[in-house]
Amino acid sequence: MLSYIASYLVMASIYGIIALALNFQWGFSGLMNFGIGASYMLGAYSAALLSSAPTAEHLGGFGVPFPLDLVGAAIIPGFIAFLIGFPALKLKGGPFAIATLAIHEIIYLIVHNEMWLTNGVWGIRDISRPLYSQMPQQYDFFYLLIAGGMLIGFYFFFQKAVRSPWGRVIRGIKVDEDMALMSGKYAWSYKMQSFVLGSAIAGIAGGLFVHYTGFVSPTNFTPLMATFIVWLMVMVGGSGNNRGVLVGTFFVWGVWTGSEFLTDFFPGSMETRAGFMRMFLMGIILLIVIITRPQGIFGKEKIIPKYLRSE
Amino acid sequence: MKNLKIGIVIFVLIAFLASFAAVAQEKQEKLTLGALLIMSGPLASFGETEYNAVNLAKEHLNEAGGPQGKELVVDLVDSTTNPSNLRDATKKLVNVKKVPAIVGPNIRSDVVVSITAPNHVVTISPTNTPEWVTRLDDDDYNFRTTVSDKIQGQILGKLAWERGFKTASSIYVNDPYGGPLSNIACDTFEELGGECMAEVAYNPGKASYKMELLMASRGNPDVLIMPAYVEDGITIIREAIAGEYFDQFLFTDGMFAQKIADETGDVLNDMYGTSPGTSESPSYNLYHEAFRGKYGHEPKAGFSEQAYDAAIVIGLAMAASDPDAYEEDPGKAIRDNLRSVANPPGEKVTAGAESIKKALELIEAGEDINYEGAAGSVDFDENGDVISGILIWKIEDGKIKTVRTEIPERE
Repeated sequence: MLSYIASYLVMASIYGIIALALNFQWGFSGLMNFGIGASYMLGAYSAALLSSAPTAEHLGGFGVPFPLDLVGAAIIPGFIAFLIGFPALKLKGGPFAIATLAIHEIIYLIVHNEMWLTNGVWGIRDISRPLYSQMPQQYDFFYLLIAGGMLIGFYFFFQKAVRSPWGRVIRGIKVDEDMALMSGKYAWSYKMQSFVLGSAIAGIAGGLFVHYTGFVSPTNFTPLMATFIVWLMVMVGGSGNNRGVLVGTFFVWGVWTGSEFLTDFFPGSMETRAGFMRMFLMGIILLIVIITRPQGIFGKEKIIPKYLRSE
Repeated sequence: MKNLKIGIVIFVLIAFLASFAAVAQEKQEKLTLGALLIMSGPLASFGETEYNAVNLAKEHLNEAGGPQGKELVVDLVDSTTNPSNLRDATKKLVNVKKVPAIVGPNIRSDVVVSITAPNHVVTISPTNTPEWVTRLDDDDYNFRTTVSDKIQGQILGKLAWERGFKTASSIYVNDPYGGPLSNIACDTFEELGGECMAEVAYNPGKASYKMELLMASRGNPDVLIMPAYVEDGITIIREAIAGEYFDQFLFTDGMFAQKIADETGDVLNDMYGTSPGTSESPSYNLYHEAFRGKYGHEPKAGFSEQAYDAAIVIGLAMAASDPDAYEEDPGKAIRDNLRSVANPPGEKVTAGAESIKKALELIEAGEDINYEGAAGSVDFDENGDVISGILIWKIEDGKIKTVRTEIPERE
């Protein structure tokens, strides 16, 4: 039981990092990125390929040890986001969202079909799990320290980032891009920085994911499990509010995990439909939040510089 | 106000965690068996039929007094086709429900074994056919009651040749199931003298497969070999007929479901397919009789025999375990007794309520038994694999019928 809760917390922490990254892109910079799952997937595959032993099945054999390959898992999705940014950032709002969604699908299909690179649908097995052999049964607890620690680290990083002068420009662009331009801030460059940073950090979450499961295949990153659920976490918690997003993440992932247990109370005839009921439940939560609290449970956080507070 | 909101969120979370704990406390006096089957998504029709079979096995064991004289209960978890959900579902069975043995998974044994084997939980997959399952690092906790793809692929290729086709193409589902089956079938077909003109991969869930059909029909091959899944397969068949790309098909176990004939009309009459399994053993007949008796119809998809066998051998191994050893480490006790109840030597017992009753009595009396399953003889080798027959089936008057069983040669 405890080990199950630990594994829930590990996955929630990993999703938390992606949700923070998406919140930075959407909640603070106004980039409606529906391709966040692609960065997550790219990070996962980068870490898997960088750390794997040589094999004939796919690219690999670089043998980069654990913490270092996470750097690769950040750089590769970050760089690809940089390239995508040139055409995509010409768009705004909805069209930007559709463009990133399409790019997500393209990257998914590449990973799905390029056997030489990713071993296609077979996925990559036997990815090293740091110190696994020392404690196969307590591994969830150990990994919780790593993933939870990273989540807390990124939380403070983003809290600092949006309060810095740089973060102030980013937030300003979201509110009024022309005003930022008039103040001599080149908005496009700041949006690109936000897009790349968010994608890189989602990539790190992907790296954490593969070292936890020891296995990766394209079906891990279906739009529902890689993009939609992260958006749900941000929307439920309150976009533009890092603390809210954390609560939203643990809440949504808790409902998703917990709904599996609801199925125990279903009568026999319903038992076989349980899987569909869970997705149904996710949709209901989203609807309730959008209707009753469009700003999320916490809503947007007002960030007031210290010297302006009246005390 | 803010504190109230945080309070509500924390309360809901605690309520969920508490419901976990409440569930975990139940079921002390009974023996539990996990069922980790696909109940949603493109393979759901298989999971449902297999779950029926597992329940039938449970009933047979319980009617005979139950293993160790205790009632056996089945805990079903939907594994879905997504590996992340599969992991969670496995963890639920292993860490929360603490089941000693699982019938499943349908696919991706590698994901499951990394969780079950260190926790000493036996898994018996009724369906996971890829060749690499043999080589998993499983500490001997992973078994399967179905044969490796290699064997089915060879029989499929042979069947294509025997049916008089000279040229063939295949459209296979792009996953670890379809690829190898198509490759092995084509290799065998070409060894026999046929020609494989194209092997086209398809991605499941698309609305149309015109592109794939266009590629596969180049050069006008005689027959389309389809290692595919039911939902996509129906789309492919409809488009193939409508566009006059193909009128002859050969199927595999992924298409072994009555639904394909129901949804495409009579165009599929006299089409053949393969599936791991057997048709002519008394055990198979007894099983089907019992299944009809309980559910009022034949199993609607393949592999229900394998699922039944998996649940029965687990039950028998539970019964054969030393109670103290079982108390201490149930999974290990089941693992150590599986071969003694399933493999020779011993008195042969078959499927069906009466013979399971006899089996439990023999175990009680300390006799050795050898379970001969509905899907084959269920003799596990050192890797936990079985060698059993491949079933040849055909569609006749809109109904799926089994034709005969091919027993592969041992290597």
